[in-house]
Amino acid sequence: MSLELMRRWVASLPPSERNLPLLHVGGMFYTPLQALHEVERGTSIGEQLQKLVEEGRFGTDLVNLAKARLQVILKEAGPYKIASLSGREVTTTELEKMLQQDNLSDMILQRLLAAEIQVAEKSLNKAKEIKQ
Amino acid sequence: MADVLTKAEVLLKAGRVNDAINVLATDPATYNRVVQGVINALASVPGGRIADLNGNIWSTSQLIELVRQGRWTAAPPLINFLMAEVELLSR
Repeated sequence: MSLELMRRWVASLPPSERNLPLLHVGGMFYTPLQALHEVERGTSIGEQLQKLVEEGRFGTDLVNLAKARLQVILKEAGPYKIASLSGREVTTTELEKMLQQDNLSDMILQRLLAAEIQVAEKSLNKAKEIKQ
Repeated sequence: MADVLTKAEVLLKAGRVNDAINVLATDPATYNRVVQGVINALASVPGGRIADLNGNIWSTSQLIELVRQGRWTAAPPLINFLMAEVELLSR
């Protein structure tokens, strides 16, 4: 994938998605915009990120990726409550705490993580569509 | 300068971060260039925050402060930035 294709891929993503962790290299998550920035700088990390995009890989397992994404989302969303159909409520602070403690048994949290995996896969698949 | 950077790059790729920093520190002018480069790179990170695999979210200003204090191993993302800078300078 050329630099131009990377640019087109990032531009094809919704603005909110461009700023969420998506790729992992060396202990750090990169958002699509950060990955593009590294590719433009011409670093070997940029090369690795570009390769991940080309190969449709995240560089880590899906649960770790979903956790990182959700952590960013919850931190930036501010406090609010999420209710389930059963009438149970959970606050964003509680969800953040569960993530920090790696306690992923809560059903609402599991649904949010699953949703993040789905969105992340969709974003990475866009690169394939652009390449074709 | 080139010799110090090459040695540091090899050590960083081997995961020997502290040894790499010690090698860089033997040449203060090179070390300062690396520090300044990393600070500039951090200051230009889109979004201004970075997530790591340990579940931390770092603001780039926090990371810049750690670099200024020489605490390279306090935040995993700093290793990526250090590696990138050493590599760019050694070209």
